[in-house]
Amino acid sequence: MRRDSENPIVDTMLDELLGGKQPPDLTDQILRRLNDVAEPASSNEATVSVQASRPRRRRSSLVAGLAIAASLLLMVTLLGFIAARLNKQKAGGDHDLADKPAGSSQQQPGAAEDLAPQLPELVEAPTNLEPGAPLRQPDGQPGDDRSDALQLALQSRPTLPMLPNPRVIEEIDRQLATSWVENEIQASPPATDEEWCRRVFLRVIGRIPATGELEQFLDSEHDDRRRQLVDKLLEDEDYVEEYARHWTNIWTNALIGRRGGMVKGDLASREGLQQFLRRSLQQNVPYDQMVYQLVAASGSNTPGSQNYNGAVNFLLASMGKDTSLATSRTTSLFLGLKLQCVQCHDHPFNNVAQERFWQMDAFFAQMKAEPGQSAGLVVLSDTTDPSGSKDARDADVYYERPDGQVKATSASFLGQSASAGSQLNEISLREELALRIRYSDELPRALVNRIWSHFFGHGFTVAIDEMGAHNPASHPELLAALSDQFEAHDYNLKSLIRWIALSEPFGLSSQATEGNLADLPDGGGVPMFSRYYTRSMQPEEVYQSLLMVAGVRRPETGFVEQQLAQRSWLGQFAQRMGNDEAEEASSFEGDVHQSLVMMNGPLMQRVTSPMEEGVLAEVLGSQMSSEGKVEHMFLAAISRRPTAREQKMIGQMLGNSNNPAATLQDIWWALLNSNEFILDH
Amino acid sequence: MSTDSQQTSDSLDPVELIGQYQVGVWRYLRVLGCDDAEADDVTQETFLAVLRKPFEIYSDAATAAYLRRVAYNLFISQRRRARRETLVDDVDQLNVTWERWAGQDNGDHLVEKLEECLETLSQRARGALDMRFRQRLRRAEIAESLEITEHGAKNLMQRAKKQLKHCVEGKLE
Repeated sequence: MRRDSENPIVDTMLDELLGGKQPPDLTDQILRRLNDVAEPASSNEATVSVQASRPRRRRSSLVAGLAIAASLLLMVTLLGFIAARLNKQKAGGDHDLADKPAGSSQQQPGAAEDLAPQLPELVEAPTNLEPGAPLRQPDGQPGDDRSDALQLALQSRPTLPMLPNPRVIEEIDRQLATSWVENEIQASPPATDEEWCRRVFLRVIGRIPATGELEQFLDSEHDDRRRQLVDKLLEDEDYVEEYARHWTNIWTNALIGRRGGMVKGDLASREGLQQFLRRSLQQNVPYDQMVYQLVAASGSNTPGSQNYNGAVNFLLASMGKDTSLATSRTTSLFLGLKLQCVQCHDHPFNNVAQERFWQMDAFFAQMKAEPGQSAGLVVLSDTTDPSGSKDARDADVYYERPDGQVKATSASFLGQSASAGSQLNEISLREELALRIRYSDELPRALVNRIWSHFFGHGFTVAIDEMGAHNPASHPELLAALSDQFEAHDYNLKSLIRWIALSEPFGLSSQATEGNLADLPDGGGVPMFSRYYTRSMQPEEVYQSLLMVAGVRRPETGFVEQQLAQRSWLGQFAQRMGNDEAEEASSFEGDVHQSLVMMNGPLMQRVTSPMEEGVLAEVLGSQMSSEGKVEHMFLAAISRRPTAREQKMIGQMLGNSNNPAATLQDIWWALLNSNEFILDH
Repeated sequence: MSTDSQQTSDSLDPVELIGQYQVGVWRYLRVLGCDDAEADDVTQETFLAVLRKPFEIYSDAATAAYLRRVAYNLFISQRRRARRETLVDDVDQLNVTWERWAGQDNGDHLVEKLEECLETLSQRARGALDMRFRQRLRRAEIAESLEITEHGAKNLMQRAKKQLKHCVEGKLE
């Protein structure tokens, strides 16, 4: 019988009253299931899931045996070994389960625990907030039962089938190829290996390849050398630091801007946030965990201080006279919902009401920043209601409607109220928000859109932080498929990067053809990704590329010093606009200021000086022929060999020159100041 | 269960907890759009989830609200997993109404008042609802029986339910 959505309560009660649909007594069933899974030995441990309890039971029995037979040292060693094996087995088991079709009931013979009835998916609370820390509460104590219960209720993840990497890449290629046919567009031809190599270095580790790296790739005879290179950039120890630095730059800029945590009086420590991000990225912490940590973080902002937690700097950088910036940044970055404009009025183009913004903002109602004991030290925490009687739903915020009417609202996540019945002194609203974001459908969608945009210059939506019905995705099915796979692959950022970098559209030439002239997103059209969109490198990428050709790929200074040097260079281009969204203006967009810095700045002078280390000094000091030297400089700067025409012209210049070294220096300078150097193409 | 003396899981009697709240949770899930079997399942999952964690009781209303919240989240997760539509448009509004009408007594009073209100309907309207809910007739069959159009049958029942809603509202508030 079709349900009456206008009167659901009356409809249901009529069904009971007239249709005889009486509530059953489920007591016996519940108690039976409860008893089936309860731990016989420890009532306190009965709250742990069956899956989670397995390693503990095995471990404790082994400990008992070993204690008799071995010394304490041996026991500890063995325990470590056993724990590692068990974890490995568990991980392997999880994998096996993921690979099975849904509903598969195959069990290992003899595995008694596996005979336990199937329970709702239960996962232990994340154990690495700042990797290694337990779930945090307002008072800084480990997570309480109420937050666990909330997590329990939220985290029932949909079991999405996990496709292997090649299948995901095929799916990207298939869906885009279909869209090209449907839109009567012909994709550009494939990019050359040189072009692809350059762009994959730029997108994945944030700099152009060195000549040696490029030549190694070009000389490789492996059929899947592209996959090998992507794997190397993502996994090889040689590149881990550069990968983490590049993505730390990207995430820092996204989270707090290029100037955040740098201006006198800022509550945030940029170093602290970058340290947190760098560690997370080096360890490839799943993205959902990283976001959880950023939103729920408490502690002090400065590395080395007591209760230090670098993640707090995201919200500290977003705190002003109120928490509206924290709200708008959180929703736009992690959910792809730009609620900033509904702060003052209902959204003009979609159904988002003004109240929605303030309901989100109410999740930050408990947040407070207090000065620490030393200069610059700030502690972020949550205040609680001392009376202990206030309901979380009563943590009201007040806002003004455009007609001057003041209204009150309380925490609600996209229409879902904060935990009912929770007391303010027991639950951190921020933690609830972090959990709700973590388990939301919007989180993977927003991230996939953001990373896709990083690789192609355009996301699936015109503005990547403003997704919704008013801003439809260009390829909704592909976005959904990638989001599902990103989630199925446990929010593994490297997996997503791998899929995109090895996809067909990423490997297309940037040259438009007659068949895809209509694919012009810069002109306001819908991106079809039928060619690689040429765009300017990010300032950080230019800086790192210049450092690389200056021969300082691995500076001897520490990360903080490197960041300070980079910041000093970038500081020439970025300025805060002073609006309520803390937006920034960049003059690194081809204007005179940028040109002057690129042409004559100290870094360029260093890179083009024959007296300093780097490509130029290496070329001038080598025994290579003139052609060889020129070719080496071309490969180093623009990742290709000179054309015959260029060789001829340069040959004439060198032939007419009284000072070939100075001419080579000029050529080097011209290459680094060419569009081809500064463009990602 | 007393408001003054808070009970913890150590002293909590699962039978008492299930006995006191299961009807309310089950009815709430039905209102959300669960069929009988789904409501049975999710009600069980709700109590299992809650009883397997240490749990404190502050008041009947808080406990009932907490159970409903857990039930709601489990219901949504189940729907998402099954890629099924969630039928309620405005959950917050529904929660407010349910809290007002049935928050204190699992909805027993509501059923009682609804029965009284049914008596206030016209015989024709009551007959239509009876055919719909008791005899499980399709709308076309009801229309034929009442010699009206299908659209007319729909309107008749909609009006009847609206009238019931107002009547119940008046009796409960």
